[in-house]
Amino acid sequence: MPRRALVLALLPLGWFLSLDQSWAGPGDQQADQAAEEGEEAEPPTEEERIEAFAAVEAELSKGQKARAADALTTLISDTEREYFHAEAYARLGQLLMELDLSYGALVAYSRALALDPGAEFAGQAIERSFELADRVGDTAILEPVFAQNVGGDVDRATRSRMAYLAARENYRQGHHNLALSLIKLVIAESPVYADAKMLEGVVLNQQGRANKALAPLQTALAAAEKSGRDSRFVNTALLNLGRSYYASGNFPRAIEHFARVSRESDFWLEAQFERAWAHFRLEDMNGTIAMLHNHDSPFFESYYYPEGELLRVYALFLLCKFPEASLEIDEFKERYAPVWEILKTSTASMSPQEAFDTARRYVDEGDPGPIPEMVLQPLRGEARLAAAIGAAEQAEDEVARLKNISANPFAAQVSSWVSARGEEIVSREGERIKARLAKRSDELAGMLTNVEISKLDMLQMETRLYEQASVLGKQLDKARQVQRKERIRKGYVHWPWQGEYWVDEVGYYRVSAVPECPSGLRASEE
Amino acid sequence: MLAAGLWASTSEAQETVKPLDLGMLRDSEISVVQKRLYSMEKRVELGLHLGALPFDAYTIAPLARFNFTLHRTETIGFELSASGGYGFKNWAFRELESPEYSISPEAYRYLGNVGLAVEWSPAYAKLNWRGKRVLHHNHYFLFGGGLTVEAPVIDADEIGLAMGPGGLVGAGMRIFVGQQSSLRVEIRDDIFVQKRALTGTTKIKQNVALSVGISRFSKGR
Repeated sequence: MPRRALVLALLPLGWFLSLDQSWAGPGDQQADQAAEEGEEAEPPTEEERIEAFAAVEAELSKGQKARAADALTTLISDTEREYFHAEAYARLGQLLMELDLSYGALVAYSRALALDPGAEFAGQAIERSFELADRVGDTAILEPVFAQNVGGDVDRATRSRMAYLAARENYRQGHHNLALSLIKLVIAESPVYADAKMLEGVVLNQQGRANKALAPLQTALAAAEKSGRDSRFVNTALLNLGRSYYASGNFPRAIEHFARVSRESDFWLEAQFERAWAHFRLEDMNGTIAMLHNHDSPFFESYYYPEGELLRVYALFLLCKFPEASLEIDEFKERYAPVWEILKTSTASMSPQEAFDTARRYVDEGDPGPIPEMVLQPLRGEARLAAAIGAAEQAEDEVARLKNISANPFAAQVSSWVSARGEEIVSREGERIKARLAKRSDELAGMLTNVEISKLDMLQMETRLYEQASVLGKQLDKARQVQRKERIRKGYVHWPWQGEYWVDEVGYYRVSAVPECPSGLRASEE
Repeated sequence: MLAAGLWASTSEAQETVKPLDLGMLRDSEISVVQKRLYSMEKRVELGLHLGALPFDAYTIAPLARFNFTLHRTETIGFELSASGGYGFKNWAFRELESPEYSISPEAYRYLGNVGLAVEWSPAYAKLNWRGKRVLHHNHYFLFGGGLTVEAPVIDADEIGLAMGPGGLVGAGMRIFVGQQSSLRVEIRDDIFVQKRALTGTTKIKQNVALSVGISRFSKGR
């Protein structure tokens, strides 16, 4: 890549970096330190380089790739030849690739790029590391590498991908502005353009700028549809758009986007739940109850939606359906109190490794172990966990294969790197899952306490409803009789509900309940 | 008396303890509104049926029927049909013909029918097939008339064909197997006036046909 183009491409990042002093790559830190100490780092001569790699070259000339790898690991462990470590890692990456040890090669390349991102080999190393990361399913390993530097002599598409990964890592670390600057480096022709725009929308939402997030999310959706991306991505974009419209207070548009999430999507039930909130905010209690009627169906019994159940209680409450709301509270307690009891005890002493193993066993074999299945259920379709499980399996597989060639010194070294990476993935995901379970436990504890209070209020309201009804019963009956029949559009079929759930009817419920609040007993007046 | 008294008091008790639905979400407040999955409105249906007239006293006639139906609405359509078949002597006829009885009853074999009918489809339904598949189907009734052609079973060239106009009633079920296809099961009764040249009498005859068929719909809007 021409240097001018590279400088131009890095301009926004450079501009941003001038604002954020906390961002400085290790190379820069070393240079600063050297400058402060008044020393000038002398690069080694070509002769010294040849000498450092002499043993490697000798083995390669004999076609001994494994022995060459041994020589490279020896060089890497030589602290006096630190200057050559980056190149040694890159060359080891290439050798491991040739030896069909993809994970080891990926770790080696990532280390090479972390040590010297501006090296001559960087362009090739970046492209190969992408190829390897896709192969083993661990692109996350490159995120911290590129978060430090998105330079290197690579084409625009590769740089876009680097910038996207760098943005992801910075988002993960909470550097939202830096993430947004990096996303701007992603070109529209890049295969990750839609992903980058989606990330931009997510970051802006995290910053509380939901209105600003709409444009990038719409762009992500359009780009995904244009490029024929999988339905999962399209549905994620629709869900995120719905959320952004919701956060910006445009509830009708939020409903429209939630409604567009495909019935076949893993996110469909979540979209119905969030759509119920949008109806609630529009004070459309019938719409809220209709959306949550899906969650009440036996097809979704094993799904975790306590908030949905409470939302349904509130909607019923606002329609003055106190006895029904009271029953719902009883059902809520009956259903979720045991879940909370189990969660409370089982997550307290759980290690990240155990949390990961539980999630993995559930995803692979459907066995939830000690955790209630409904809490683990959302993990089943989660792309992030699936990628982590896949990467951990790849790491385990490669470590097992390295054991077969344990006579070679490099095998032990590479095996330890790959094992460490596998453990890192397990630990990170395990921590996340554990935190998630603990959060579920806490939120359930709060909900169960609150419903006790709500139940008392509800009983009082219920009593008043009955008292009023004893006086105004005839009027209530009249109000019920004048309830309008819903007009059914041409081409639509109206099926009266008889308490029977049909799988094909899920998602098509309508509720036309009349508020039963006699004057003086309106919920809003209490 | 005692039982009646007990029953009365029980029903009264049941009346008084009827669950109070005040403040409850009633089933009547919930409905399902779905876009009709299989629409027939303003579509043409062409069908081919195979069947038989199994209830005739002396013959049994396999038949084939072609129908053309113009569905004006989801519930009303107009059907033009043409059937053809051939009535064979059945076991009873052969028994009577046998030397034991030596009787040749005056029987007419079915040859064909053309009819025009109004199709009324009041029911559009779903069928839950073993909890795994939902089959959509409808039920229809046919009312109309037509012309039926028959011939005497006994070979008598001078007698010729027996043709007669008549009415038509029928009922059937259409199982939708796709947006453009359906399977049909139907029973129809052609009731017609038949002048019987052999005996010089006029009778009202019923040809009850059972058939199964497939039909194709024109593309919807």
